[in-house]
Amino acid sequence: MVALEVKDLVVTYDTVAAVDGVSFVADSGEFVALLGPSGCGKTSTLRAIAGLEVPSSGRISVLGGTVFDDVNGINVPTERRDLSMVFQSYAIWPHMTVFENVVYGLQLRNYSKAEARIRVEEALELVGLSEFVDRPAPQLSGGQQQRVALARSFVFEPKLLLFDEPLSNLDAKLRNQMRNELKQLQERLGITSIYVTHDQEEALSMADRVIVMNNGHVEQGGDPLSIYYEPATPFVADFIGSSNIVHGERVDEPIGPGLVAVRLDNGGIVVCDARDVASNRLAVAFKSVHLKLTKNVLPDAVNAWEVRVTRRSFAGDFVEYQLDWNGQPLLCRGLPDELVEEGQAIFCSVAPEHAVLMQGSGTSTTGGLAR
Amino acid sequence: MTTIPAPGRWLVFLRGRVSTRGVILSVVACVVTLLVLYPLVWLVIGSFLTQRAVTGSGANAFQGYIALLGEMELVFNSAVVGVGATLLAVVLGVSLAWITTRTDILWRGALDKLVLVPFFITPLLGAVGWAMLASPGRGGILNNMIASAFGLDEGPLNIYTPWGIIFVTGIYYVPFTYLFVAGALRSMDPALEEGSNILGGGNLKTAFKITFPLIKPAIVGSSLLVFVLSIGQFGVPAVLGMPHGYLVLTTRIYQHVAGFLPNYGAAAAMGLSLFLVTIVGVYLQFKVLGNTSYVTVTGRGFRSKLLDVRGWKWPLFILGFGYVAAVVVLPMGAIVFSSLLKFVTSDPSTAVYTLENFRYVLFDLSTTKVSIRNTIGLALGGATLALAICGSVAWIVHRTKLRGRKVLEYIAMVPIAIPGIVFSLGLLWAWIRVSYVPMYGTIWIVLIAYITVFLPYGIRAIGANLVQIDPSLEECASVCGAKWSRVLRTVTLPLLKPGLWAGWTLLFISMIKELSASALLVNSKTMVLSVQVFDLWLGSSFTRVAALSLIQTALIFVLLLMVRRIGGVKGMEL
Repeated sequence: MVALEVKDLVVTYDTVAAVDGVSFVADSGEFVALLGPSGCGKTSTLRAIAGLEVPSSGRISVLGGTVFDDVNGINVPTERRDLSMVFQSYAIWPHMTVFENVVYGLQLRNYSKAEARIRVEEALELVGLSEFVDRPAPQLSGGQQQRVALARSFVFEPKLLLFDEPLSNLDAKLRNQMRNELKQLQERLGITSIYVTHDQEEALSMADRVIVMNNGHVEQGGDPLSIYYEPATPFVADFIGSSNIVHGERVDEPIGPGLVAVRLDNGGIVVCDARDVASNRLAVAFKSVHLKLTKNVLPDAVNAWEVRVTRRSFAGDFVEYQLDWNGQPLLCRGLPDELVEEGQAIFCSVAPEHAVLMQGSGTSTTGGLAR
Repeated sequence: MTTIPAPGRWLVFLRGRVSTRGVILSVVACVVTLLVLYPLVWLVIGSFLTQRAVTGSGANAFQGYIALLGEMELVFNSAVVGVGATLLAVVLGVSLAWITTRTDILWRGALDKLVLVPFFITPLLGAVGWAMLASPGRGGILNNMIASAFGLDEGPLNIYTPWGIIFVTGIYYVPFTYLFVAGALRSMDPALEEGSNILGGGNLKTAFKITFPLIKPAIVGSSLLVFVLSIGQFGVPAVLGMPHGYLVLTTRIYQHVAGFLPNYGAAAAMGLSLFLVTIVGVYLQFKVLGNTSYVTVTGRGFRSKLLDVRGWKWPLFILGFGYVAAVVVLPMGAIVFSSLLKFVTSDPSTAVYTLENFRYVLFDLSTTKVSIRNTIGLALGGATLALAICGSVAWIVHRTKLRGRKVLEYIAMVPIAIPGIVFSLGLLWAWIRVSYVPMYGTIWIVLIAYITVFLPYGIRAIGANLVQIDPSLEECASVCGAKWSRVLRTVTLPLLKPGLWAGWTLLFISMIKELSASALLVNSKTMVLSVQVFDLWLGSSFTRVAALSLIQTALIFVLLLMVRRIGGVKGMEL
């Protein structure tokens, strides 16, 4: 069953469209992550779903009921959408105790005092804050405030839970811990959740489905594995993981069943799994972890290129090599067990299934940031 | 990103929320617009009406402007007083701010608090006090002491001069420049100055190459504000200049309205001209300072390294506490002394002391009871009503996306550019001929004047607090299912409470001190304390003025203490 449907959503600030025609659906109980760089429109989309921004056009429906539709002039105010949200700043009311914060939504739904108390206690137990019930909110640590915000958001069983980068203010260690707890909690409660983040690890590890956004539109939506292994656009390939994107023209002679060869601008040939791409100008993306460095050409290697190591940087869990392949720079991440020296000539290979063919333009890029 | 037009957005918004909220907000917007613009429109019309036009038949529509052209020296005098007072306030304010934030002189913390005391003393009182200290010849206490000490026939000081007016006006506006500049100095990252030190810049070089350029906006902005306030000032030139024939625009407006031969047209023409100058000043100040609050200076985040000023320690100490003496201790001392005198004298050793003056002004003078009652009533009612309006405007500006909210903010900020006496003149024009709404001569017209004149201060004070409150606190409440009225009641107002108290107190004290708007509006039934002090001064009863001034000051401090007790506000943010 479809729990949330967003159709052709446009949100404009002044005359700039922050969200420019976004459509997606979330099934009941699904955990959907909106992932993208800052300014991509993910938070505006979330706030439009909550009714905190008024879209200029589009339609939003929650559990089949339309909450916004510019054509029919429907705009249900936030407080009557029966959804809930965890804010980036937690938005814990500092003039209330933990109990008063969590019970707020229940009071508005006419629960009896006794039942509200029981529900608040249950919610606090779920987030591990039972003993903090009567603690004034300002006396909580960041992590505890986060948990109170969480308890407050699901205690009244909303139709939809919205998360606006809830973990971005926590330190790395706590963030990892909260990520697991939050995911477990969401599975247990089964509330449909929309989770906004710029952190790909968060999105890939927690979500059932990831929607990658860029410049106000959806680049690609799918389960985490397909987003990682089969990026649909150079942007997604570049944004997720550390990737090499090279450009060239299609080689017309057949290479083998299900394979396509691309001649790069430096003359080199990259063989990749065939995909239905119309244009002649092509791009091929491969993750830097999928590049293998070997002293000799492996016997069954399809893509094996002779490269030179121009720079090596040791990053602990992995080693990053900058390679030069006839003038085409490449980035390779290897394990730190077998180090290759700078300046050394070596063979580099990538499996055709890891070389993703897509429509190309412009020039080649490597690496992106080590995210 | 592509740009697209957004038709229908407003319609959708409306269709979603036609509500009591919309109605209340529209009413507030209309009230503010009416309060501010209606008198201004009448000021413009009034400047083209002649004396006769008030009663019916017309004459030369430009007679007011012709009268103004005949008295161009007034414009010059106002400019001299404005520029002089501004220079003094800036030099003193910047020096004091630098002393309290960057040097290690003795009692720096106390000085920081004492510099703000003039906020609670009216410039009128300062003028009265300094008149008692520095009347020419041997009349002033200070003059007399200097003359005796140096064996002179006459003391060297004469406060009844342009210099005297500049001096008193300037020192009473120091807190404005001080607050802005000290705020800027405190919120400056010390690394900026330390960086200069590390690259080899000495303390002096750092101060002139790094510190002062960085606080320049604060200096320029606050000097524009002080200039606007001091050319619109009425009390000081009225006490020190008017009785001796040295007039500025504000005092001449007063004479044109309250004098023997009233010329309302000339007064309006002068008022309008003055307003045109001040509105330009305020516009420039907006440009330079943006929307910083006049009263709440936040950002005490950094702790700067304090300079060891060595040999300058004592000169700077004397400058700092000399200022406090000049602005508080000396004039208040002179007023206390004079209030206890049986006969006027400037020599404490030969004086005859009595409490007769207090008995007289409190019990024999029937006006005093009326004016105390009116002053407190007006301040209580005025501050409360103004707070409601200011709170609504601040909320509209900072928390809604209503169209025209910027325009509303600008309109509500206009009174900061209207000198009180000019505004009350507009009010007189606006209501004097409206016989079916009996406003003229009532306490209500004074109330309207107080509320309007202090709108900008209240809006800034509350606005500064409102922007400190994270909007997501309120958004979260509506996501939880609360209607706007409930969000306001359970989240916004409780969080805003300290800010509202501070704003109310500021408005309350400002209204008790108010002189220039009241001067033209009150009569014997609607008398307020500051105008009564001023009238007594014009009637030249030195000792009784002193007694009444003290009663007014005591009232301010007692009420302030009560307010703080009730509000539970510990250190009131000014």
